[in-house]
Amino acid sequence: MSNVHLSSASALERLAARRTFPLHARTGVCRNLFGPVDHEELSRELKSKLREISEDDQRRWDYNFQTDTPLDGPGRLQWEEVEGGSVPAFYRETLQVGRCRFPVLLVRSKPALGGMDTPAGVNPRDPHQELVVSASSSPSPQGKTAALESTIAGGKERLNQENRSDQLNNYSGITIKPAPCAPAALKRVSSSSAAHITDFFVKRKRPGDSKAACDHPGGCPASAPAVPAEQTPRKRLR
Amino acid sequence: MELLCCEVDPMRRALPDPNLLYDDRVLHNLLTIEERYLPQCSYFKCVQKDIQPFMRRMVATWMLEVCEEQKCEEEVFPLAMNYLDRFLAVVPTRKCHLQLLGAVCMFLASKLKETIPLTAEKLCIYTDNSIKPQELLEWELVVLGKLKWNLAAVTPHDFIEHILRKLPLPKDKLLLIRKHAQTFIALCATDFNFAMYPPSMIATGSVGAAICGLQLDDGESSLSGDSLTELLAKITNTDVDCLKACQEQIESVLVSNLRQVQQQQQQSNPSKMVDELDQASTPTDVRDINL
Repeated sequence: MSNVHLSSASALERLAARRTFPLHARTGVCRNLFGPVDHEELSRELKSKLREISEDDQRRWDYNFQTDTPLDGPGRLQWEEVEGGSVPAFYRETLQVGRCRFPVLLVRSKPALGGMDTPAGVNPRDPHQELVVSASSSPSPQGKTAALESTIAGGKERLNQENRSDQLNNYSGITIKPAPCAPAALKRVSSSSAAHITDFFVKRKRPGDSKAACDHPGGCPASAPAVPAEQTPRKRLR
Repeated sequence: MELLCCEVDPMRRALPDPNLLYDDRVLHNLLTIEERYLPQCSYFKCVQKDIQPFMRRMVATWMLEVCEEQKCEEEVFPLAMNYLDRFLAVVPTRKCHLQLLGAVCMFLASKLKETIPLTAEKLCIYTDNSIKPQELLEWELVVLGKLKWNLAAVTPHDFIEHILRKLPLPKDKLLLIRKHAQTFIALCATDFNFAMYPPSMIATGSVGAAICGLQLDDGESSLSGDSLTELLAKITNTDVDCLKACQEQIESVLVSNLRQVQQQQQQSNPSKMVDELDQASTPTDVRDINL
């Protein structure tokens, strides 16, 4: 026979509370507070709440999350298609097998230039790496960092340019037309049938709406809902 | 054969990090962001039609009992109440769904703060099986969506260590003061009057009430009455009068809670079961506090 000794008393106490809870032994805490729940009504309520949330999200991002496509209309945001291989590794699709993650190489209608050499998406410590991207040599950490930095710097530059162009547009009074991104996006969906939100990125905010967007973090400035969305409250009692 | 199972406490906790606790920038950041996580409005007046203040108290008491029975981390209950209040401030809710909401909020808060979180099945049992685990999981998404996935809310607990280390407190009393302050914070979370107060004020008031309650002001003059309040107010940058009012409010809530418990004990026959129920409805240790 063996004597098993648990070292910590508090460990035992917690195990008793958490794991070996006698489920049928009702304590006074097990109680129904407000009467029976109508499960059908609850499920209807659930559907309507989820619809509300998804509509809010759609308005907020000008993006249809069900069909995974940007909205057509001239909304607050414009989406532009970019090559999957040109985004940082973090945004790329991976496939988890057991405890390892592998980058997914999508077969596209257009041959992706950066598609074949995307070693940044592979964990250098991943022992199975060579099985997946056998052609690619593992990049040195320095190279990877440099690549990342250049991406970040490029992003910043782009942002600055956009801000500048927005300012210019403000002065000249030119309104920015929505980029013709939707047809391209739709075409791509039909060709590869797997669009990802990271295939698009927000090109620019329209200057006129950017202020309204700041006032309404919920992203529904035009049609005010009956109940206000969560906002930063004012300081109280100070 | 002797088998020694050297399993350590399954609740692995990080040690207090001096880099976080001894840096005033952390405190200042907490003070800056805390108001983002307050409920937007006093929702009984402007949003809710079916839910009354006493129902919030009922569901809060039940949630506290569940957290205590499951030995949850101290932060779980106030955090769950924060989710509940923020949800109710934006979504009109029917009273028959209030307990489900409470369970979902505990589920989320526990997942955020604990190494071994509460399970959906267990929480459903605590509702006397009036809801199904599937429903709990579905509504989890609704609550997350309505809170815009902003779950890392600042709670009064985040301030306790920052406040305590700036007070000239006797080392041997520190544990007790912390425990009483935590109890006061739980008490405040059950009371809607505190729902719109900034967490830093509740924390400061709770520490003040704990120190006053333990009568630690004998030797140290800076721990007595007004000078303590001034010291506390300076730490969290709170208005002295507001803080004083808050601390008095906390103390009066404690007194009314104790009175309630006493009445219940006098009325009910002292069978063991009922006594246990009574104890559960008041946070532990509240009765030990000497006013």
